[in-house]
Amino acid sequence: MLAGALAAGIGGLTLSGARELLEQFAPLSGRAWNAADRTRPESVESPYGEATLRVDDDGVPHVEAEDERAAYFAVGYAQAFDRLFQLDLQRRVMRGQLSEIVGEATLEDDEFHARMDFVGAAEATWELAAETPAGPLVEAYADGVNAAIEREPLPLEFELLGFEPREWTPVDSMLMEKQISWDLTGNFGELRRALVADRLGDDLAGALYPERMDHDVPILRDEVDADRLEGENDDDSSDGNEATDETAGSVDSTGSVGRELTGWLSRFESPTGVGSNSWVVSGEHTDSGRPIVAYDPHLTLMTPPLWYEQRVETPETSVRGATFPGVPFVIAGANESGTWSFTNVGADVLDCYRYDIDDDGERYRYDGEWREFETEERELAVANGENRTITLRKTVHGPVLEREEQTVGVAWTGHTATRTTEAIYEFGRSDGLEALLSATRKFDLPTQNLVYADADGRTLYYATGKLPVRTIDGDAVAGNQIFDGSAGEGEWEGFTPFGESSWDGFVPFEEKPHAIDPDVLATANQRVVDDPEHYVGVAYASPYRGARIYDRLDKAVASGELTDLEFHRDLQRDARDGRAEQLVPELLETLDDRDVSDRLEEAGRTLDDWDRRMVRESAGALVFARWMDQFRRLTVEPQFGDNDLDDSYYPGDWAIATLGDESDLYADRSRAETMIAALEEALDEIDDEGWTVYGDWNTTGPIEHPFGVEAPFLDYDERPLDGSRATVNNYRVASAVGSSWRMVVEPGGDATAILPGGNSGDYFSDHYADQLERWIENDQKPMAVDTDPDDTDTTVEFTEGSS
Amino acid sequence: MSEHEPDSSEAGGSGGRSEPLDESPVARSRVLLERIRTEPGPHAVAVVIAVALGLLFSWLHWFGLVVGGALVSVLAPNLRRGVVGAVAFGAVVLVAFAFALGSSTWIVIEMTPVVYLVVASAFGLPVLGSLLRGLL
Repeated sequence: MLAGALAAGIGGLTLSGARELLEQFAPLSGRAWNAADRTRPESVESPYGEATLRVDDDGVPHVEAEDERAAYFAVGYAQAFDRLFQLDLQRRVMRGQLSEIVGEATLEDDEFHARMDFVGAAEATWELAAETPAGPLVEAYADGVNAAIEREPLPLEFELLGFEPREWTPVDSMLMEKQISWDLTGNFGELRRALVADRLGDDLAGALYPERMDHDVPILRDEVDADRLEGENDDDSSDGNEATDETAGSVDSTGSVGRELTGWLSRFESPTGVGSNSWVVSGEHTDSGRPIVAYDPHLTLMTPPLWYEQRVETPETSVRGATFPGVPFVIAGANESGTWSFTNVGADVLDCYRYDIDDDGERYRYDGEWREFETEERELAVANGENRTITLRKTVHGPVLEREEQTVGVAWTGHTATRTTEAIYEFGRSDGLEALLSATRKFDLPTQNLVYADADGRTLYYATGKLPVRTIDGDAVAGNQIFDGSAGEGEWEGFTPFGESSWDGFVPFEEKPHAIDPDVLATANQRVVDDPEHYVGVAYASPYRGARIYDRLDKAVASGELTDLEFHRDLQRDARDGRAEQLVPELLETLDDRDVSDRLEEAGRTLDDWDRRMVRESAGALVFARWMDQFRRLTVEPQFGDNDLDDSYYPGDWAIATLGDESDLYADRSRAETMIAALEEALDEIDDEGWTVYGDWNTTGPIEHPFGVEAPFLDYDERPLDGSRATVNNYRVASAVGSSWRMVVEPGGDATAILPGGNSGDYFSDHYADQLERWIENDQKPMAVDTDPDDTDTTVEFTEGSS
Repeated sequence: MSEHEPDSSEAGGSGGRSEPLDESPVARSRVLLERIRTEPGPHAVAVVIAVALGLLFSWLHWFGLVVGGALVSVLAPNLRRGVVGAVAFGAVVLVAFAFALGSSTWIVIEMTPVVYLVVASAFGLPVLGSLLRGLL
């Protein structure tokens, strides 16, 4: 019997899934433990010469070198040591190689990314970037990454998944630029709006997806007192591209392309709620007399964070701030002269084209003739499954996307060679506003609200990125429509997909929205300007955050209060919800007008006593947050459900808040009745879940590691959080989007910053989650650009030699 | 079941010369094993060697945990003591593992549910190996 038990036990372990688990996690021999004692070496040979890497007590690498290439080799090494799995995962996503390690579950994602040929765009970009001064530094960076891959133990995720990363290339770094740009500007809104209009009618679609929200706090509001660049087109009427002409052409005359394609594509758009806050006040309103810039980008929150903090000092500059792992240069940060930050514009830089396609589906009509699609076979590798071969198709406009015989061609400004890498490199070396403006001209992608200030007291706002000008029959038109590609409608003059563009037909730099030396200016993804010289876009955020920031800054200015860094950090923490100010009085009035149950009355009293702040210990915030979601759902669900439109098509809170009782959506149930019903549902939900305060529901729980489901220990601990999707302290618990980096900088003076987690992606590192608690409280740590780290945790010397 | 004498028919030498039963290699091993199992001095030395070998094998492959448990248990005077010895070996493995992890130990302790697998395999596999004691 014992022999049988022994044989069965050993056989079971070796032949079952237990074997794989034991190979990973058995004490002493498990390969997962190879990653448990990763430490940086004392010295590394570098083909680019000497450099020093010091890692401070917050896990921030400080690289110093006499030669820039030596410095960026060390940067590559540092990033790879801390974030190698993230680097590899991101490029796999963009290359359509995720299924190679994950299996069939991600095949559709891979298909989309392969069909969009982001790699082709990155290759074209590298061809251009390689010839710029930034090119050799990108190469040195890639060599640094590869040196770390070769000589350091791999991080835990590689051991768990059982694969090794391929060599890092400069094209991979260009892919990172494409990825973040896609996350910020990849918007198929015109397809979605066309489908809603098709199902619900133009009037209702117009009310729910307004091209212009009715508010008076654009970024460039009337009160912004600033200079402008002199351009060739300062005479407003000279080119016929005034906004009125352009927006007049925005009527969708081509109909929707179908739910299957639209629904599929919406899975790959910018994540819901992606946005940011940034603002600047001039030295007139600070106690130091120097300007202050505050910045917090609202991007996907994940484990480890999207951003990576680094400092690089060379004889030319000392630059510190945040970058995306895989990108050598600081993207948002500061040097001794100035500080710069970016929020998303919401500009329309992606157009969709329909075509006449022949019966065989082999050719499309263009310029009066039938043309063959440009095709390319691509094999998608699948772990534990059969590889799949797809055929990529392109037209003169760009890649073709298809679903169930629904076809569109896509033009996106990122699908060509862009100079952003060079621009970012030059930002880091800039020594004042003029140098920064010069670099900004090269910032082709993505469209961002650049907010800048420098130690000379100069301030700046500029909309970066290329803005297409579309025409139909010679008239400029807006881009929020589906164009007839066969008729040559809405084409971008000077744009060459997957090649080098001349940008001739795009909005000239001087004519893009900007403000030189603004006194007080705030960006929160709201409309850039009420009457733009050229069409910019319609995908703006609701104005709640922008209005609140301007309100508090205006009060400080009006009272003569001189602000300091702490004032601006406190403003970043602001949790007052503009939706509540709009809607709670109406809800309370509705409750007062009716004979409602005791439970509803008590909820009404809770809301009445509430200070409208979405803070974790508040019961009123919990009731409001759940009520708001239910109110939105109950308002649109009946008609949307009948028309097969799921919640991904639901309109924003601003549209719901400003919808009148006369709307068709309230035809069967009045707005007041909907409000009451929503409160009933919200209270039921709260009771069922056992929540008592906002922080019971609004937690860091959704901030997950990409493999957090399979290995939950990789996730951060769950903590209650402040903030909502409409507050300055921004957090969307439904999609895990929020302040992915916070910094407050006084150029030439103090600077502070914080990450949502830690600077290291190494699960066993002390810096994996050491900033999480401080991030929750917005208790920022120093971000000095001109001094050595106070406390050095580790030092690595890079010495001359062949790595 | 392990108490029977070796079969005398297996004790023939290659040259046809008969050897006394108690001088055959198997018999000598039996005697030695009994001595190790019963005399404290040799027993302690053998256990230390078995634990060291078990740790070495466990370092190389998870099956080393089974082997380690088997080695320790074979030295025990009976099956019950063998199982106890295997459990003790598992504890030694965990101590060595914690020592190898250094400052990462506390992080590994928080790695649920992985840490359950670590502990379960540290004790379970040697105990599985200790069943060998019942056969020898």
